[in-house]
Amino acid sequence: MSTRQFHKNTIMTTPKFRTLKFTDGATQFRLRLTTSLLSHRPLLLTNIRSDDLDAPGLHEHEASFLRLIDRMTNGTKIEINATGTQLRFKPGVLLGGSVEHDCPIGEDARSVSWYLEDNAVGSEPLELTLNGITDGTSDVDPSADYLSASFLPLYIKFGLGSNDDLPPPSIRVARRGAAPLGQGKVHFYCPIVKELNPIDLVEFGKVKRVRGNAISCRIPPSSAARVAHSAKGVMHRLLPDVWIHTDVHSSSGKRQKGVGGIVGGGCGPSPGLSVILTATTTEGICLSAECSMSHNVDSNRHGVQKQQQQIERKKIELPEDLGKRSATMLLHEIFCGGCVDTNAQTFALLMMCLTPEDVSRIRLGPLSSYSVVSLRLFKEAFGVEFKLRVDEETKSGDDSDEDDEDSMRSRTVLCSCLGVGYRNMARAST
Amino acid sequence: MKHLLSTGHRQLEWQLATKIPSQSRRPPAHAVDYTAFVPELDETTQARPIIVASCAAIERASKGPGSDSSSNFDTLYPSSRTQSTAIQYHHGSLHSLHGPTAEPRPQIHQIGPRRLREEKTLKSKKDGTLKERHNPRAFSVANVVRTQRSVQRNLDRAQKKEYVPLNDRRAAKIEEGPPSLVAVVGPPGVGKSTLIRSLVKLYTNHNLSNPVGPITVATSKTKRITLLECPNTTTAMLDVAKIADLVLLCVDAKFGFEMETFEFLNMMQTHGFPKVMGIFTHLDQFRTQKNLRKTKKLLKHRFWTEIYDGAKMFYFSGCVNGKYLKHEVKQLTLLLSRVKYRPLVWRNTHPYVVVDRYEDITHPSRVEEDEKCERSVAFYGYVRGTNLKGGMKVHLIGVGDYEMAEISALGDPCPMFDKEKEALTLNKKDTKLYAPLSNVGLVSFDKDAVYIDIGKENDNGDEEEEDDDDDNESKESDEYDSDAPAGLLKSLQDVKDGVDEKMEYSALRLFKGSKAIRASNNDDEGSSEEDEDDDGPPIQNKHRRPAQDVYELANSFRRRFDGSEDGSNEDDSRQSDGDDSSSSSSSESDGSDNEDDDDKSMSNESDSSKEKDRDDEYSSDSDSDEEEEEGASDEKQKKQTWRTGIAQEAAMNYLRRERSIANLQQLVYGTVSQSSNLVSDDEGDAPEKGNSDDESSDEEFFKLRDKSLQKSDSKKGANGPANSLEAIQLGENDSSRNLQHFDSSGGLTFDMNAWLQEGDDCLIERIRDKFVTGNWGGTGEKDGEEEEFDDFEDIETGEKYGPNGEVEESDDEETAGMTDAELREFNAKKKANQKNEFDDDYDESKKGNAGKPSDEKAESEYVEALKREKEARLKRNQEEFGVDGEASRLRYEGFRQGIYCRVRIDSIPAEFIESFNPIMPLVIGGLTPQETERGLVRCRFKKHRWHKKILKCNDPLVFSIGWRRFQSIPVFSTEDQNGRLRYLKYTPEHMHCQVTFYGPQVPPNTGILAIQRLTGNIPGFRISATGVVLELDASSKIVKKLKLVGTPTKIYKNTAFISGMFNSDLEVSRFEGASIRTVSGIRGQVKKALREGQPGSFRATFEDKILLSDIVFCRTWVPVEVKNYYNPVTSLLCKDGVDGWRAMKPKSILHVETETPIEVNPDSIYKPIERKERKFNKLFIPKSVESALPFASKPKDEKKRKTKSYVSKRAVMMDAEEKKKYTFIQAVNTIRNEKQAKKKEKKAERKLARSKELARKEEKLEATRKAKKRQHYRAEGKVEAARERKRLRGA
Repeated sequence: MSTRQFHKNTIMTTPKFRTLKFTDGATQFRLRLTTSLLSHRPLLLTNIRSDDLDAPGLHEHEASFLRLIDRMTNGTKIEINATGTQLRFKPGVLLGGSVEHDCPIGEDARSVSWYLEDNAVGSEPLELTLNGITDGTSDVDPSADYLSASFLPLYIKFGLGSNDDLPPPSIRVARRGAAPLGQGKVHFYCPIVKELNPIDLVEFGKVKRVRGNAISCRIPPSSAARVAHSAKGVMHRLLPDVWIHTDVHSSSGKRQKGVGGIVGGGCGPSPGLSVILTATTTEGICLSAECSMSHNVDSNRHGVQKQQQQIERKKIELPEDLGKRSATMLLHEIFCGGCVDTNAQTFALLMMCLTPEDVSRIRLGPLSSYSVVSLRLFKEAFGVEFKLRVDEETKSGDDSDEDDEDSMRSRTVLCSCLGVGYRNMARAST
Repeated sequence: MKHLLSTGHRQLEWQLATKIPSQSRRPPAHAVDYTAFVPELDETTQARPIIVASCAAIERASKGPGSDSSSNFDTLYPSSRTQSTAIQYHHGSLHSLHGPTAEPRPQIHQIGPRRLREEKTLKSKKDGTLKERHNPRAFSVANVVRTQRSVQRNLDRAQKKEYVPLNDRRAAKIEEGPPSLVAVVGPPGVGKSTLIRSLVKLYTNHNLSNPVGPITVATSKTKRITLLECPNTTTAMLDVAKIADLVLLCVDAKFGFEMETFEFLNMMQTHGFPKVMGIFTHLDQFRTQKNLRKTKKLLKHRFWTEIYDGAKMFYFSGCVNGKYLKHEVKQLTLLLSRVKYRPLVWRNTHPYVVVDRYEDITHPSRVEEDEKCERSVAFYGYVRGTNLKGGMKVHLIGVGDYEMAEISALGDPCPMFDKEKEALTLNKKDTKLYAPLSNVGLVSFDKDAVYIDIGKENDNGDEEEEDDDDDNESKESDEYDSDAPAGLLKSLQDVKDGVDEKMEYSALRLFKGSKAIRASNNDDEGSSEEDEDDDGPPIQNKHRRPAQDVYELANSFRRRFDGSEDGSNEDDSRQSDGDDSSSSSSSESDGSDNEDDDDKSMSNESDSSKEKDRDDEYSSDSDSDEEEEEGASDEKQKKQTWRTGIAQEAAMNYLRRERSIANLQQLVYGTVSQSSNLVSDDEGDAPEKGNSDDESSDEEFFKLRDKSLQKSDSKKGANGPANSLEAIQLGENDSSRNLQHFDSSGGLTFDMNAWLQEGDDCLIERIRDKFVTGNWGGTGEKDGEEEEFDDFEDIETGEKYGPNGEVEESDDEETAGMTDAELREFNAKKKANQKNEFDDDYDESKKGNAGKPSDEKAESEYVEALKREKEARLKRNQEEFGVDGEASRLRYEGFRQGIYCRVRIDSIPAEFIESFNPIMPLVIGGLTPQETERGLVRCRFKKHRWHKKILKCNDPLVFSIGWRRFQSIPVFSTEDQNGRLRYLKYTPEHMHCQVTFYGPQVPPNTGILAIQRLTGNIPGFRISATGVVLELDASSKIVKKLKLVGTPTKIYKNTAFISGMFNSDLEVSRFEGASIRTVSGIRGQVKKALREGQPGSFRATFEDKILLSDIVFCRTWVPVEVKNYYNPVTSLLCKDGVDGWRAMKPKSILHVETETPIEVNPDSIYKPIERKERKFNKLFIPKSVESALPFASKPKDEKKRKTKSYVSKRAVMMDAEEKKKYTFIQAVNTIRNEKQAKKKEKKAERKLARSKELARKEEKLEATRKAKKRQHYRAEGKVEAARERKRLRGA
């Protein structure tokens, strides 16, 4: 054989992987890292806050997320340039096992759930313990309670935890820690599966029950009760089966009996008040909505629409208003008619991408812009294009006044895709 | 029997009448237990368990109060009313006995009466009343234990049959899937090619002189097979084992099984076992019938042990005209058509393409510049396995990993036949053959180029009557390589006759246009047929085909080239010019690169059901002129207008309805053409098309909807959400909490106040229906959906209709406008629905059976649930994208199996082209994203018991896993009880071990196969080991034991200073606290490094004082590095296949080749042990101890006497008597000794004689033994030599 040919062989043995390249910085930072990890394609992020003169580059929470990923995987290579505006990420093998991670706290910090939101399956059951903020940031990040109310049912629908030997996935708040100072603790447990199950979530069913939890930390216990009461007030107009627990935490260390009979554990140093409502339908679909008393008014951080709400809320929001807000948010979710709520859309779509090469179907409410961008990301990373179909719901035959009502008609989107057949290769067979 | 039964029942009645009332207070024992053991019955004999139980119960009860009577009578007879029901039942069952269900009973009767009599006599003796009991059924469960066992056994057997349903991702209908791949495998000289030739001849009546490459043959109206011959190299055998659906294992019966056969079976075992049929050839070489029978039997049993008992086999006795006997081949084809395939795990999760042919489409100038430049090559073949997606990475087996630069769907070169046709069987002219590498077809297409090969290969065997023209031409242009067009051009310019005239004589055949072979009534064909008759060429088929093909080619050309008029490629235009007089001369141009869809439009015209789809999709971008032209030229289409019209309309309306999808799709993924350049965009054009023809009356049906859609469209345009969506920008804060919905509908913003409003028309009232409390009965979602249905969908979902009268009418209405095929389909669906309904009912009624124990029920329910889920999944898979247009379908789900596709791969080394060998199978295997990476793979591994040597660690092995085969360096290990992976130097001889090597990742549970050397003439079994992948990781956990040895320098009580174990204090500090041990087993611990003394010496404590002579060691484990070596077996890049491929050699071979002696570690040599004589000091007992000892134990240190003691000094005298006795005894002893000595001598003599005798005998025996041995080895050697010769001949 000629030397030339040998040379050829060597070239072939080091095939270049197709890198996912993004030039818009830290947009969808976690999701991009997660998809990179799952699709085994390297990631290159450039221009990470490169025009932000005050704080260019990666923020602390992002760096922390990278550290978490590094700890959860084997063989991951992370390169960050000197200014932190460019990240090169070469994914390794997801491991699992028991991981504890401290999330940074502070004014700009993200809640632990920010770290939890995208998680994948490893070779061993994953036991993740996160320390940090657990509550009070529901405008930006979901709380741990929200995840357990909304994501866990989805986990189970995708077949996680269907293994008899292992307990089902769980998210447990061991200790509350409201923003900004945090000091909460969340345990996340996720069993392993070989591959996911394809889903077929198109039937919404009818809402049969609403459950909720009003959480207060270092705030008079009555306020949680007030939140619960007002939320119930709204929900009772539609459904009698509403039950909202109150979870009161007075101070760290001491255990105290809450108003609703729930024993609250200790909590972090910051005060906070939040509420989460979950509606369950006859088809076993869980929709959740949550909101919390904002701990700081940082109107620049969100969109224009948010800004208005923020301004309204500048006046200290009454617990009753908080309750009403949460209830209406839940109603809105129900109105949207998706089989998962708006915030869980992306997660559901990601999991659908990873299912075996069978068709998965889901009915979603109007797509959030985050989901839309995620869909594009999935197409690029996995090559999965979803079939999106607007499914218009005809409202009791009144086509005549369609025009006026158009803004108020819910149109669901039927999403279906053929999974990529992601298999948990890290899992050892026996 | 009937009589017996009836008397039995009378008896029962009598018993019930007399006994039960009195017994009801004292209920019978174990009544319910018996019911549990009664075998399950079908509905007709439902009554039986009860009766049997009751009889048993009564029998027991009649034993009297002594029997252990627990109380289950009431469960059987809860009230007196049940008595009568029981009797009624028995009448019912009596009726049923006349039916077929009465069969199994006689056995019961046979057991019954004897026991009955025995028991009865006993009992009658007891209570003095003798009653005759004939009821045999009462004793159907007379023996509890036996019944229990038999029930258990039945359950066990049922359980064994149960399997977890495997997800089957194959096409639902056979005709949608790819042709099943039938591989013909066997050592050389067994008649593989003969078999293929005979099969092809039988199927297509075509004589193939040299079958090479995949040969696709249509075998029936719905089935196709691809025949593939497997050459006798290890690599090819590995590849074929991975792709074959059915293997025809050819064995030379005269010669017997050869090693290759077993090797191939083993390869199949590891890569998923496809179906195997045995073909035994050379049966005519047996001289005696007896011998033949014996061999047949022997071979059969050997074959069955390898595969399974009852595996199918065929015996081919002899050839006629180079083909097997027709009736024998026919038998084979019969079974080929009946084979059912099981899904195989790997192929159920990976797409692959068995390449039919390839085209080098590199620009010639690039090749001219650099001969070795990287080529871009187009591969053609059917997609098999799962869906092949555009972005997928593929592995070209034997070449390497590549990205697909482009993939496109082409028309099926060997299409299925028209289902509309009434004929149940294939016509002779229908028969199809597609074998591009066997020189059957001589025109080949790339996307936009046509290659015509009118070569020598054309006239093969039977076609000597071929015109001379062809031969002339063939000399000028031999192959369709890159310079072919020039030669072709020349030859075309030189012709005397028109091409169309010549075509009639030449055996031109186009596979692309081969769909056209369907009988279309154009004039050309007629004339050509006439010509044929005049000339009278013998093989009509062969000659008719080209003419049709040319016609079709012309048609397709016209269609393809009409769009763009820039004729850059001259050859093509020439070709089409001369092609056909009827085809328009304007059709001279070359499709531009982007027109993938043009290819598709060339496809299957004959298939009218497909036709409408294609027309909708592919030709949508053609202008109306073209349509006109098309309509004019194609008479067949005209005929079918009314029929296709409906379908077209329906499809179009569907598309229109679907436009909303397209819109949202476009908004999210950008415009379709942007999103994928692999497939054409159709949705955007669909409306235009829809507007252009509105002939159907159904049109109005959809108008309303259309309007509304347009409205919403315009609204969208006005609001401009599309633009906003295209330009969605998420901030860098990375929060998923973004409540701004993208509104697909207009605006759905969350407004808290709106929700809090009260009143009749407030928002809350609007969603009331979404709650269980709402009033949602009238306006359910179902109604809404049904409104959307139209006729078209009704056809699709025929299940809406039940069997009542009203529905029949609607059925009639529906069926009125349908074609036969539709009607048939409709009926089939209806039938299927009814069957499903019945199945459901039946299952439920079965479940309702109380007779089953609960856990068994749960188990069966579990399996049932799995099956049901699998079916639901399958159905969803088929339905979800099935209704979409072809192009969008390709986009969503990739290229599904059965599609004939063209895969372009750039940067293929030039060596591939240079060393291409058409007999080697060429496979493109799709890879999932994870499988492109490389890492350490840990497998369970076992040396094959037929492989002669054990395998050494770090000696390179060739592995075959998944699609790949590559060389890597394995490290063997075994798992200790504590989970530690301990390094092994060699594989165990008869045990599993584990192997870790560096290679591409594959999912766990994938089978692997290892071969030490692929090439060379290796006697014996070449497969070294097999195994299964366990785990993938980035680092290995294998460790190797290391003992660090030190010696004590100073010893205190329990403390000692040890040196020589470590080299520095730093090392010691790393080992602080480590446990150490002396050879004698005294345990200790490393404490701290010492300041003075030899560096690395340390203080250690032990559980006891150690000796200075003790050796102290510390047991440690060091990780073993696995070498990252990965060398794919690129056998297709070398001229002489695997032999040309350069592999790493094992050390032993290198030793031999370079004549290096094996290096010896002097430490490992055994030397004689020299042990110093040890001197032990005398035992010293301290005074204090001595004084405490008892006297017996006290050391007796008597001083040595100077003088003799009295006892020794005194003299003893014997008296006379005594002396006499003494001498007598002495004399006797002397005599005895003498005698014994003599005896001994004699015995020795005898022994000697005997040994001599034995030696002589042994010598004789040895001679015969030697002769026998020699004879045996001689025979063995002869067989071996024959095998060797055979192998060499084949290689």
